[in-house]
Amino acid sequence: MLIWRRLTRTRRASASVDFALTATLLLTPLFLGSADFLTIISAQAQLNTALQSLYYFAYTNPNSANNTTDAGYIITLINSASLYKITLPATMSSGAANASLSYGCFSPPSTTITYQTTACSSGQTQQTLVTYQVTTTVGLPFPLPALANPLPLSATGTVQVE
Amino acid sequence: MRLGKNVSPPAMRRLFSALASGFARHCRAGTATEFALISFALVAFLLAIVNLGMLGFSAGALVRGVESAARAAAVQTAATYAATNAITCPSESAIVGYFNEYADPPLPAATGKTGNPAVTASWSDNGGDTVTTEPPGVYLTLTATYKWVPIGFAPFGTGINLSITTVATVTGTAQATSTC
Repeated sequence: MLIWRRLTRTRRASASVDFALTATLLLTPLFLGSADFLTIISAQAQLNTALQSLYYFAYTNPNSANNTTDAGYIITLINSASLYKITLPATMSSGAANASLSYGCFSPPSTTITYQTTACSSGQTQQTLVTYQVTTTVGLPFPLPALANPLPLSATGTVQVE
Repeated sequence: MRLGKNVSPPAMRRLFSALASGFARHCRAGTATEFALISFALVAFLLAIVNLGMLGFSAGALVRGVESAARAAAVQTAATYAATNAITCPSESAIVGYFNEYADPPLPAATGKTGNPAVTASWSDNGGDTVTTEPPGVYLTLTATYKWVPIGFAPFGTGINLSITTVATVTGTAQATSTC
């Protein structure tokens, strides 16, 4: 107890103590977190770019937009040069099949669009949409308590193709 | 006080000891001393914030450059196919030119497969798809890598490698009779 009182009373080397506390509790976790952050945003950027590739495939080939063999081949091409290995899961996190089509139906002059997974009834104007989901996992250089390691990442998007 | 040859070593030790304890006891310029100690961490922290922004800027430019260059090359190939009924792909230098158009600045100008940034393009067919109801098509796989070097942290590392790969589809999915 006497030693503790002496330590808390003295002001000598207080700057060094401040620095040691700051470096340990603030700067080091920030530095480690930055390395993790860089890894995560790099992988997410690659995922988003892969999703863009699938969009472009769907724009140019609307009749094959739901062909998972063709979409999977695009992902294979990306994986041949990418730092992160991307997968096209058969089932998306929503429960629907990957590359599944959905439809927006409306009957002019009404502008209310009804979205459904089956084709529109005859006489309705139909929009065709396709939804893709790509996933990957990244190993964090410095595992943090709040983040799973390896960390699963995904990107999901829907585009209108017709 | 003059120091001469007649000052003995124990006296010198006492003198330096007295000076050292005097410095340690003195409280003048204590704030400046604390700031001097903490300024290294402070400057490093500020530089790290600037670098994080620069890193995001470079990574964003790289993504934009790759996606836009691949799209431009694919559109040019499709337009040529529509006019000539033959798949004629743009040259690597043309694709690098597209990349520079969108990514330079903020990135330095690319020159090809080597350099920083480096742009690599490869063309392939559609993997053997036998769909006959679609026009023939080819795929462009475009990869750009860029070694980003932080400002002010040169002694601690040689940079971070950024890399992005995309695939652009040219026209259909049927097996092309010829690729680039």
